[in-house]
Amino acid sequence: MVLSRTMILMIAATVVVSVLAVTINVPSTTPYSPYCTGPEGYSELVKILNAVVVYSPADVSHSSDAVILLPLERDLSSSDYLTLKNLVVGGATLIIADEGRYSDALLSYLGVHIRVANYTVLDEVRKLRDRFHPVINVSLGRGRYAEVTTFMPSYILEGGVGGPVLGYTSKYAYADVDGSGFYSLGEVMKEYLIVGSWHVGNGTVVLVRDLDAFSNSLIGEEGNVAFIRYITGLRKAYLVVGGLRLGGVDELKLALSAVGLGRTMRSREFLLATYLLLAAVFAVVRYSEKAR
Amino acid sequence: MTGDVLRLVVAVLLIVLIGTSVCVVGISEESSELPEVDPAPLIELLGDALMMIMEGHYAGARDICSEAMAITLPSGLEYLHLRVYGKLLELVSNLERAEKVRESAEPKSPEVKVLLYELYEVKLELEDAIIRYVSELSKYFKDDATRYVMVRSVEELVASFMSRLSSDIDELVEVYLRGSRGGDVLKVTISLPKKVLGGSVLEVSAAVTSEHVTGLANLTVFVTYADTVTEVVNEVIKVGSQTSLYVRTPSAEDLTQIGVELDEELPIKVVALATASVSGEEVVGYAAVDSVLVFTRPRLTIMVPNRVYPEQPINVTILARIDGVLKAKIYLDKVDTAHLLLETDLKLGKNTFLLNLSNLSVGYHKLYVVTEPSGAYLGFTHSSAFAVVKQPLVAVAEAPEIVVIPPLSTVIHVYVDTPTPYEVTVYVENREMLRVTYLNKSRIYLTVPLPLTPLLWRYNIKVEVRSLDPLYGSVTKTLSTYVVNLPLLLAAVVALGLAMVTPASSRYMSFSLRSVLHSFSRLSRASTRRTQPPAVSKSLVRFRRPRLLKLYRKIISLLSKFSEPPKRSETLREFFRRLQSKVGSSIQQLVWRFLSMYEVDIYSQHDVSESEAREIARRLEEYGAE
Repeated sequence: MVLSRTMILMIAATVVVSVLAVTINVPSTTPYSPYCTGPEGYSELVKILNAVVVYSPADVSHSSDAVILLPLERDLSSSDYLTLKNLVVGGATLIIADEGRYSDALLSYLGVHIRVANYTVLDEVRKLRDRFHPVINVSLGRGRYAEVTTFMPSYILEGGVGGPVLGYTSKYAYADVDGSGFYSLGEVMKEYLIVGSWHVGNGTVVLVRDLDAFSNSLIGEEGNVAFIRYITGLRKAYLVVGGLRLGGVDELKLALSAVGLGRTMRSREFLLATYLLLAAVFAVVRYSEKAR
Repeated sequence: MTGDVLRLVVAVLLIVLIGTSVCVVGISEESSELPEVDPAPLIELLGDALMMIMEGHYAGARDICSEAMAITLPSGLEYLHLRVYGKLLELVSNLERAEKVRESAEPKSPEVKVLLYELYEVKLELEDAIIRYVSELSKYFKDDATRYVMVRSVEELVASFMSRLSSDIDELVEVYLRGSRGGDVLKVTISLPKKVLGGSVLEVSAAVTSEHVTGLANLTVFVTYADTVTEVVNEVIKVGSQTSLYVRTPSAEDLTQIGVELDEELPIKVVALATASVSGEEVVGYAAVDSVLVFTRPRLTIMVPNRVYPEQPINVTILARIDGVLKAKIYLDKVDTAHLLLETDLKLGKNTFLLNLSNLSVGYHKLYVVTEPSGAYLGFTHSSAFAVVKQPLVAVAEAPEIVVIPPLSTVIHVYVDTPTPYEVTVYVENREMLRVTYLNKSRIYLTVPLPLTPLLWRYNIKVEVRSLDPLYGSVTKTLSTYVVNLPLLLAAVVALGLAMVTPASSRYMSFSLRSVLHSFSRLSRASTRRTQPPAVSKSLVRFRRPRLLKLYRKIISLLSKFSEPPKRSETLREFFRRLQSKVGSSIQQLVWRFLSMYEVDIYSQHDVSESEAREIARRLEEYGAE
């Protein structure tokens, strides 16, 4: 069988369009990915804040009107520290979600000297569903409070807080040092600091010791929405994903979104129109060949 | 071909289009079973709530209770949890009212009375609720050490809390009695021992003092035992002085009579109420102290023999370490009037009793020693088992070691050393040969018939002596004896000797022996053949390959130039008849000779000469070559 060049071109064009469409439209399953629509994803957060997803802080436009959400699952590069410092000092609000110690170096660079602990905090008294979902009473300043639901958060050990945003557990929470999931003798029951904030230059840094507070499963809770909306306000939000362990598909999606294909490729009407156009072109070419 | 390609492309497009139309892939998370509750924070929460109430921080206690009631818990635990905190809120509310009332209350105020009732009620319900709640929570601990530490800690706190609450209620009682005014009050103090023995005298020291009141006061002391029995003692006492009142505590039998369930410790509550009249107004004073009424179990050690013979008296010894005298009853097998053996008094030290029991059946029995509650002693029941065994029967039996027959009997000597009628049964090789009964004879000679013995045999003889008195046992003696049939033995020896010595007889015997042996061996071979199942081979019957087959085929092929080979339906002789007319006589002879040999080879068991057959074949070959 000999395929005509027209045929080959048609097939190639169709395959390319289809691959792009699949890449952009099929959701990711990577936890904390802005393209993940599952309980662990951040797709709802992006939708609620109408946030721009960028890979690096360098992609954030310099503006004092920016709110930068920085979830961390790995260390950032040192060049990002300078960028972030310039942004914050210039007036941006930086919200760091970190359960580990990936933000230690960044905070130190920003002049915030604190110590954090990696142990999980459980709270049987103030909770949602179970003690693994402690509800944090976050003071937002000016007498306003929000009840933010978290999932197995860690905590800020010491260093004090300078900003208005402060979030504590109940005084019956405890750090599960032995990882048993239950209180054991020797573990301390007290109020644990989960959310802290500091003024840096003209901006503010807010540290939330939990990544899941902004995930799809919890962002729908009234307190969580109120918390993020209050901090973000009407400002432009950026979700920096460079600190997350995203898969190849997520990074490809991000790249395609960056070149502007995201919107068009998500549209069913556009895709349908593309295929119909390809089919029409093919039919016309075949007809003309036959006519000849 | 073009149509095929087109169809293929359209199919691909459709698949991809459907795929891209699916923009949302829901990832459903399997819900995992919720982890169980961690009880430790709940225990802490309860402790904090109780501490707040004890310290009088009622607002803080309310906040804790409200926070606690907002916690979601499994349904079984949630009910208990809400009940506890509900009652705590109720208690806080009552205590707040009590604080206000304390400041301005008239004596015997109805409002205070109602508040007192409510406090009593909530105290009882709260105590029950907390105990159940903590008990339920303790089941949720995974770690035993944590459970032990936390539950113990909260239990101690609960005990302190309840004690404090009782004190608060007592204070409120005082407020109810005297009102809120200060000054004109009577202060009553009483003291008594922490423990007192039942049936003894309780000394209560009481003092009534007052800053402003002088003169005489009426003192009424209520002594309540086990929340049931109350004794009231009245005395007039001078205010500012002390007095002692003596009350006899109830003994164990006193309490038993009125139906009080005895225990080693029973609570005593002493309440002293003093009243005096001041300017026409009555002033009161009140005090309450608790004590314990103690009873003990009598320390008795009972010794009864393990076994007795019928009609033998039973010696019972009871070692008593008691004060005074204790009434005891001894029963046989059952504690009722019909089985009462003895009613006696036990004193300090060794008490011995001889019980004569007649007609006691052989077997196990029980003796019960029962004491009733008396004085400071609780009731006591002890049982001892003993066995009534049969009297032994003494008997001896002897039989000769060797008995020569005839006659076909032997004499066995039996001696019975027991003054009782008895029966003797003699068994020879487990066959009963003799049974006789004697009323009163200790030494007997029994003539026992023996079985017919051909030559020589050893017999086991069993002599059983059984008493006709059921109180005596039986005895069995086993003997053995050799029985020799002398005449037959001699005859056999002689016959055998003659047979061995006579030549003809010896030859005949030798021949007979060999025949017998041969018969035996043939018999065993036949039985083996009979017993062995015929070997049925599952394979087909195969014919033995003839030894001359190869030569036969060779000769047939040589003769094929003269005649056709033998047909399947043809015998060898039919073939030969067919061949005869076609070959010369010399060949005929050779062929006839060979076919005869071949017939013998295939149809019989006889051997044939292969060399001759080969010679015939060689000569036929020569003829064939010519």
